[in-house]
Amino acid sequence: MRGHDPILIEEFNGLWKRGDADSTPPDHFSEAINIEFIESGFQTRQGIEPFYNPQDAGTLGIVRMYTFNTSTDDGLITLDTNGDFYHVIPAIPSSTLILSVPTCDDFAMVYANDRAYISPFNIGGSSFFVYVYNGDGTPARKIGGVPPVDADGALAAANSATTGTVEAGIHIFGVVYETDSGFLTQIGPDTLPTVTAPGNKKVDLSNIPVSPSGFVVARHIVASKAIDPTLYTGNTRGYELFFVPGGDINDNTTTTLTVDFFDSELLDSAAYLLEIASQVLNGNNLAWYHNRMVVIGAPGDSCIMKFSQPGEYETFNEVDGILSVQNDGLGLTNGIEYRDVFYAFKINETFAATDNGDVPSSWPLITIDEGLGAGLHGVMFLDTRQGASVEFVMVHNYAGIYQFNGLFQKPDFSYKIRDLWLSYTNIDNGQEVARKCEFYNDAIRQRLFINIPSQNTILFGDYANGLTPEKIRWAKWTYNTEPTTITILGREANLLIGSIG
Amino acid sequence: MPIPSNISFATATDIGSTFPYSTSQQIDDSGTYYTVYYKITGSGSKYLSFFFFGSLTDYIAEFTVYESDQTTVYLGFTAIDNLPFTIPVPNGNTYYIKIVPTGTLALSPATLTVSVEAAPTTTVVIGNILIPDDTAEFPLAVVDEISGLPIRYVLNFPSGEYGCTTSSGYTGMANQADDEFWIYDSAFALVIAVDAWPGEGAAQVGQGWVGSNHVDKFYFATWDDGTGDTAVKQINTAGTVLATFGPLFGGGGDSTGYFGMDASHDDTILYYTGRGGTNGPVRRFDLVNNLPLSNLVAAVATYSTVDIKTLSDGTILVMYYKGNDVLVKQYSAAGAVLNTYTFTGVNTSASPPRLDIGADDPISFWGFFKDNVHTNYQQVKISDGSILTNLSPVSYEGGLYAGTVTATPLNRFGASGSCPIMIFNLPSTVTEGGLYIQTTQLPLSSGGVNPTTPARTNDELFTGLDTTAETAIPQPQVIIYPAGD
Repeated sequence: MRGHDPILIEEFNGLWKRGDADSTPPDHFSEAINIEFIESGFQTRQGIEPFYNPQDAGTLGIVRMYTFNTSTDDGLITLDTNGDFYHVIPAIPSSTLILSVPTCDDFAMVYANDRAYISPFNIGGSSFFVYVYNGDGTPARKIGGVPPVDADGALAAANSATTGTVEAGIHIFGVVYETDSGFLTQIGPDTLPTVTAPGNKKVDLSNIPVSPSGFVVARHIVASKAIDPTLYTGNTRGYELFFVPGGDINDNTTTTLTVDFFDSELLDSAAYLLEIASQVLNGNNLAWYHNRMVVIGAPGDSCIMKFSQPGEYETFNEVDGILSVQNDGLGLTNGIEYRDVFYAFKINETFAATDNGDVPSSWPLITIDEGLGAGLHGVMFLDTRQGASVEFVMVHNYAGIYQFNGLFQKPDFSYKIRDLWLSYTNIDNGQEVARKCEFYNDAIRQRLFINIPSQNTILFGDYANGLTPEKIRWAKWTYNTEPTTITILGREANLLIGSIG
Repeated sequence: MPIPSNISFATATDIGSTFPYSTSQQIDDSGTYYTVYYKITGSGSKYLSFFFFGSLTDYIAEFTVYESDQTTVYLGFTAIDNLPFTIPVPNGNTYYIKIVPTGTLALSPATLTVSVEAAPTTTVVIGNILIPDDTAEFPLAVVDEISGLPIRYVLNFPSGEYGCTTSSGYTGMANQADDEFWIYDSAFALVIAVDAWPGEGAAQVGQGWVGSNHVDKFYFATWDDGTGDTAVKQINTAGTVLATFGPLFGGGGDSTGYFGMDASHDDTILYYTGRGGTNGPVRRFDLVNNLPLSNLVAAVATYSTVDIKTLSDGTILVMYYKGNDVLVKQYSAAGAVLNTYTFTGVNTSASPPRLDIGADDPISFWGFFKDNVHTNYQQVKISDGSILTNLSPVSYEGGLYAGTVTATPLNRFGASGSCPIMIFNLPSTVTEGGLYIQTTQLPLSSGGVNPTTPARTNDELFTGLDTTAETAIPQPQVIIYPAGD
């Protein structure tokens, strides 16, 4: 063009979708489709190819998947359109059906110690349960477990003929089942037997309950300290019971056992087991906080959070393990621990809870932001779990993509593509962003991915030049198939795309 | 230096069958400049690029290619200086290349550099550009729509000026060497060569019009159906002639010029340009009742019509040209002008411009322009006329590099600078979901994590249980908004 001064563009800084096209800075693109960035340039993105072929049931019609790495295999948990969950191990390859919840259309998952904890849910808010999968190909089952009942065995206790040290007085006995995932049930059976010890004998237990559940692998005897017969109320559930030393039965078959203990040896209280749930209703999301598993939201009460006992991820106290936020019609969607605080999100609201060392129901809970929150899958996964860097957590919501460090950082991380993001939030009346768009970070290659399923698009952000709103380089990656769900797998941080076609 | 050893057909240096092949030799000795010989024998039918180069002036490598009888010139390559050329080398056939020293011959040592490359054989995917050759025996070039360079050649493909593709992956081509219509499947295996107009000669049929419904049927016309008018056969992708329509001009018509023809996607209306060069209207024909209809639009004065293409949204694209002025107009089915796209800076001196719709029908179309040196591919976004792609590699007309002589040719393979443009297509419906991996290319200097899955240039998608198909990465593009002053 005669008289026109040439513009030297030394860096290509990606897509700009903010305002009119003529507001696009010279070093940005008003459109950028299917490109990726290289040093001082860009090129066509690389192709996708089948990751698992021949296909099998675990890789067809995937609506959601999460990475599930165990000590032996890198794998996936997938959910298909039939509500079937599979454990997929690409390296074998194998797909194992582990659970069927026919009417669910989505799920949340966390994992630890080779076990996956799965919370199915659907858009209708149906009632399901939280499940645990042991990672070994055996079917997943509801977390928790049914306690001993009289039908399993009417536990009896009697003074032994042999000399012992059980202190004089009334002792109440009970049994706790232990499942193969380490969960300890409530104390049973229905009728807890007592024995009045003379003070110099052991106690013989018989008819020890045997669980009909195949996943009970051990049982534990619990007992009270000596109760003065003159003060005994007759309420066997009114006294604190303790795990009895030598009272562990590492099978589900033995029905007799002789125990012997001093009261001073009864140190490990089982009282907390009296109020735990034998099964836990599902939530919209799962998270971790202070070594507790958190179930976020619940059918019919989407504004509560249930916290497990520390280190016992299936043990939920139904009375004091619950925190709730104000129910204003929108439910909790997500949560994450960051800098010792648990942040819970609605799509447009954010709360902070802090462990004060007491039970969760006593924790202080404050509102952080009443305009910004995060979607169901809107907290970024860093590698294999929702994660935080030293500096911040990344989330997306209706307003954009944000760095969050207790406060939502401004300008938003999607500053350059604000108009594009807002167009996504219009899809399906906001449901696309709120419920379907996942957020992953390939920390090795320094790339962000957010899938926009209905647009056959993955929003791609390259932060090799810096993880700031100014330095991020955006582009749209489009496909001739729907990227229904995405995850990152393996040491190489491969982006996997699950598609319903 | 001893005199070269390969100074006769009998002592010709065997290039062998491993490619790329490269060598160099000094061809002068004691003031004598020797003619040298090379030979190659086909090992598996291949399309090969040869480049014999001396220097720009002092030692010009003037080559001639001979067939195995050492006398017959192969494909017209005779006394050509220093240029790359491409030829099919069928399995078992032997060819000789004789390189005569010309130029000032004031150079010593006079070094001949020899390079032979085999054409790539990349899988054809949706969106690739198909360019047949107008010279017999040269193959169909499958051109990458991103780089503009061939990714594959289809040998034994008919030469001609008229062909088209369907969304089901079939390609139909009017063979200008006979009177038949050749149909290829999506793997470019010949399905059938249809003698649709028995008794009609190549002059009437081989240059005949070709169109399609873009789904599963072709339309193949003869210039003269025996009555002096034009008629059309409807042919399915298996080669079965389903119907005959015509006469298209009510008994009139003529026999010269370039023409376009295409059917609505529901096979109800055939659109075709008038014959006889300039000032021809766009005509319509009722395929249901076998009757001419009123014209879609009148002629664009002083312009000649060329290709017509129907879009899946029911609109029609018509390409017009007058010298180097090229227009494409988009019409509604009622004949209203919806858009006009003007191409500037193109050169139609080699042959008329051509047109095809994109694989993303109805989002874009491709214009194909030639200037005796380049093949220029321009992809245009139909909605706003923006140029999505503009590529101009050097063409290979008759297998010969059309660029200027250089020691470093821009591309060792290219497409013919004539003929139609066809966009390869396949059913894009993915019938099965599946699990994919996004391949990734790491910097070559990276010594860290090595991907177990090599990067790939196409998407491979499931089209059925355990079956996949290659598809082009959709519309890679960037747009820079030019800043104002």
